[in-house]
Amino acid sequence: MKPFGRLAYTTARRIGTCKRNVTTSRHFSVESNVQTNIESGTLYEMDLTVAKQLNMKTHLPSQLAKQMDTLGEIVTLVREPTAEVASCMRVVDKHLPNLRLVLWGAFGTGKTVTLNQAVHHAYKNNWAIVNLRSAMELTRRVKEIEMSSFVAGRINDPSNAVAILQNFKQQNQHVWKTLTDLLTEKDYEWSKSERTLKEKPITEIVEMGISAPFLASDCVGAIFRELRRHAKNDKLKVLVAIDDANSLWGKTLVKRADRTYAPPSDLTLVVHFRRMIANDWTNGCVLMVADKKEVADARDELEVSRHTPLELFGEEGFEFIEPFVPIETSNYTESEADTIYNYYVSKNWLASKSGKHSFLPQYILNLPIFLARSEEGRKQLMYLSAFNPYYYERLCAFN
Amino acid sequence: MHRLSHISTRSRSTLADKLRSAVGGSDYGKSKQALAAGSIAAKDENGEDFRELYVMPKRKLRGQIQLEQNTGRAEIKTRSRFDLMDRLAERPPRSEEMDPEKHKWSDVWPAARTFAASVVPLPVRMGSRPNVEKRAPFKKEGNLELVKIPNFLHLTPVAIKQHCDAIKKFCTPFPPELIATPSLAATCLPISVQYSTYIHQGTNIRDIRSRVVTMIVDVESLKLTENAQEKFIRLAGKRYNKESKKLTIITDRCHTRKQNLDYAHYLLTVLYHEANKVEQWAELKERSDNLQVEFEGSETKTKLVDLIEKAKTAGLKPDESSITEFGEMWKSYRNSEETVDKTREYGRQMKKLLGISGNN
Amino acid sequence: MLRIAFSRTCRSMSIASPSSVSESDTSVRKIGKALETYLKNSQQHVAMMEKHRTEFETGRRHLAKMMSLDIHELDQEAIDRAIQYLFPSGLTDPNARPVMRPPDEILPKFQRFTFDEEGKPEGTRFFTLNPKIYGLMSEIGVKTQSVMKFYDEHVGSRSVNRNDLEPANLSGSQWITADKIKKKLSEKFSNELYGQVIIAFEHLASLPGSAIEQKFLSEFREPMTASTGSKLFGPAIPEVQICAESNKRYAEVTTHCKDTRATVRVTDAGKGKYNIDGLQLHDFRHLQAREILLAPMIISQTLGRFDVAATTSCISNSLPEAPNREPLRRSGGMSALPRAVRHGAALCIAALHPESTESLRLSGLLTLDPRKNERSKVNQPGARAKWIWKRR
Repeated sequence: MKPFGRLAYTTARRIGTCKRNVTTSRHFSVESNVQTNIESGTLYEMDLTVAKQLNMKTHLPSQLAKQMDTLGEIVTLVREPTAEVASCMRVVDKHLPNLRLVLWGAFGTGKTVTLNQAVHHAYKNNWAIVNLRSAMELTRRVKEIEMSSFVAGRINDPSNAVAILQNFKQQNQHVWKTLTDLLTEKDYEWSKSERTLKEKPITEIVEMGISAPFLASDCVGAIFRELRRHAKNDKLKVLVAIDDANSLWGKTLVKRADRTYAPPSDLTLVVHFRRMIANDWTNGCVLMVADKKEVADARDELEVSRHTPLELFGEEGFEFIEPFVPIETSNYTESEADTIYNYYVSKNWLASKSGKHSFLPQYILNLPIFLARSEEGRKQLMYLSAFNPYYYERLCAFN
Repeated sequence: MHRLSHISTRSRSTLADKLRSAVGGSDYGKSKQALAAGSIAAKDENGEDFRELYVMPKRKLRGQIQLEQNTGRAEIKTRSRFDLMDRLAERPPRSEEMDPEKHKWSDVWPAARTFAASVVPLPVRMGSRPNVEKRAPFKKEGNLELVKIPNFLHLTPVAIKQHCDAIKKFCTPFPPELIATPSLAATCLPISVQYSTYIHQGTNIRDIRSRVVTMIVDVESLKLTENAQEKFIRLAGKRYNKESKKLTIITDRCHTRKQNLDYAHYLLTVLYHEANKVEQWAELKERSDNLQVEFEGSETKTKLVDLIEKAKTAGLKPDESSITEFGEMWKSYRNSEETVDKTREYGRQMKKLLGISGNN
Repeated sequence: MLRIAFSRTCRSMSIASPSSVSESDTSVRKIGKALETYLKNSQQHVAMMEKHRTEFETGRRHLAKMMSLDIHELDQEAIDRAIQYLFPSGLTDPNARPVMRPPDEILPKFQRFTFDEEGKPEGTRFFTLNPKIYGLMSEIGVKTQSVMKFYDEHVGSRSVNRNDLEPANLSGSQWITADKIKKKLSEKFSNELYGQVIIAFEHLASLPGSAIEQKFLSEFREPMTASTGSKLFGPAIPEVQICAESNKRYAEVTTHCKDTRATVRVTDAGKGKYNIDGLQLHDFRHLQAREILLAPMIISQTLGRFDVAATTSCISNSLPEAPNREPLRRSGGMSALPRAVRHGAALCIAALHPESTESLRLSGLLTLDPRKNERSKVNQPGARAKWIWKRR
């Protein structure tokens, strides 16, 4: 399939150069800053400047981000789980302990996309955003480590901590002014020379961490602590969005001095994020993704393992995050697949009309790429992708 | 032309003369006689003997005899075949002599034996032919295919019945109570043993598979205490079936069935006594060591109750009464294999508990 | 080439014995040498058949006694069952298994001619060289005439059943092949003649009122699926059944690929759902697997119409030698299971959707793939691979 796919792709692009006026039913939601009802089943176009601020290019799945780059716009389908998350976020209140939502679903059903839509929703509602691209980066992709001076036995991760703080700063530009108005609770003595005094803006902690990487891990803890405190006092609402959150209870590749692998509870950043998940604070929402990549081998295409929360979080993690609301992401329905199909047709992403090219044999012409715009092609794309959003997108991109 | 002349020269050769004279028959050996009589000079001018050329043996050739016989000059001798009397003495095949009414087949074929065409009176045919319309499958005489396959000619229904009648005196009748009420078997006979016996067409009565013994025990009938039962289940591992509450021991490590059966009984005994032992460390058991996770007294329950209290102040409408229902669902969710449906049910109940409806 | 020979009663030549020929040397007739050979062969054949028949009858009585059955109960089916019990053969080709049939069925046929007293062949069609097929054609002609006459007489009248005035109902069947007609009439003929017969049949079947000849026509018809079924390698196209609960049509078949055995059940009027040991289509992560699974639907253009349910098992796990051993994982990589299901599904679709049978067959989806994992050899790391050779 693979080598042929490449050839077929170029052919299809060549064939599909003919322009076609498509007046499809492309419903775009109207953008507004107030909390609106999110209508599931519609396409939603994100403003490019906003997407840049929210760092969508790195947070979305890489292949999807690449395709959006090609098409020149960020259009996603708003689906049921997004609406569910939004309705849960509406409940958040200063008296209510933070609401914990777990997105779970089979591979490729849109957990990460839903998470990013929720982040965008929080942006529109002027929430503070703590977004982690993948918890696996804290446990498996640790480039440099140093022992913590604050708590004995903890392991700091300066590079990831700096990245988290930078990302925090970038994503919260819309509430940065509010954040500067919020003041610290106590004196923070980072080292002998560096300290942040009481009653200073909490953004100073962020700046401190970015400028001094060896302090960054502690700064992350401090900023999280301040955010929780201010959220409790109803100064602002906080969305904590953690992709692959079950990796916080998974295995790590960080080695201790005795060359054994450190448990995740020894990693400073993991501990900070776990504290953010704990529900001892109010006025916030924690959105987690239970993802199979912690336990499953991505290259093993035969094994079908479970993707349910208890399996992925494990007993310890499950008991930690309980009580939570599981939100399932599922495969497309036929109408959703049609919406995406019509969008691709209108963007000329699916170009070939029918298989009337004499230079190719018939059995090749029967492949979906040669009749993508015909009724038969629409059906074949739908069933060959098994209504799975990831497979559908890959199949429409013909690779 | 050339060929013709060639033949003519050949026909005038001495060899041709000799052949002609031989066919004539009357003057056979004339030159020899003439030589003996001295009519032909026996010595040449050098005084050496005349060496006659060897052309043919000095007896009648087969062609000559045949020629003589065909023209009636010699009589045809007929000889009898030397084994004719033997062949006449031999019986026709037994299958042709047999009478279905008089002969008992189990006497003719009492035990397992390779197929013999002369004994089996059935006109069986076997063998694949390319065109069956033109050529029928091969008949039974001299048919190796029929010899190669196994046969049950010694296991006809009549023979089996005879065997059964013969061994009947060694058997006891099956308990009629168990036939009347099959449910009695579960209570009266908690141990059931299964094994298989294999028969072959050949003479070998052994089969490697016949050693395997499966023993199924109803664990409840062992009347273990609660602690002992838990230990029993842990020791049995995969052999214990939670649903049917039965223990299945399959033994195949020994060479004979009896050894395996003894070993299965031994295993059961050891399991039983080991389960009834109470060790010192058994008292150190904690809540997390239990076989099953309980909702009552769990951290989740305290967290949930706390959350519901706070949710009330936050203006949600939590459904307090459904916490017992949630507890039951939670227990089955934690203690059985997780499925997608169970997780969905978990989400539904949790939303109901917290008072978050899907579409508000 | 004529020789002097003798013949009195040529009508029953096959019975005539050589002694009777020599007795009647008073009437000198001329007979061809070919005819003489025919007569000799015919007599031999009759004698041989007689011998075989008595042998079979004795064998049957023996078999009845062996299986302790009454001789009247022992029909051909019972004989087959008894032979299968007494000679259990595991040969895959059913034609190669032991068989006991009446000699008239199993031995090659002897073609007989009938002659009149002068040695001339009886029946005027003898000299057409194909008397039987021309006889059939003339029979069709007579029937055509009578059907037309019947229709003309009864059209509009209420004296006959209305259904009798319709053309014959031949849906779901087709004309039998030339080979089968040849076997039926026990005569060889050319393809042109077969074509003419079919044209005549078509004409008769198209006439209104041909329903009265339904029985005659259906003798020369066969079900649609039967023609491909016999040609397929592997399991045949299954029968369509109707589910008692949902009242839907379904077909079920068992097949295998490599070490995977699959029992596939395809239900009509579904939604294109798959259930393979509890896995759905999207659980097959590789596109290749999904393409394989959907191939029968794509070729028959029935995407979203059939539901497929399959249960699979590993063939080598069913061997009972070591019961406590960990069961093997099935062999054949990522495509063996989908291919087993594909073959089963294609067969079922051919049963439920007969229009696509031919295209499925041409795509090779109805043919079993008999290849198996080759066993590894002693003193070798694999089936063909050798250890690396090293100069010592």
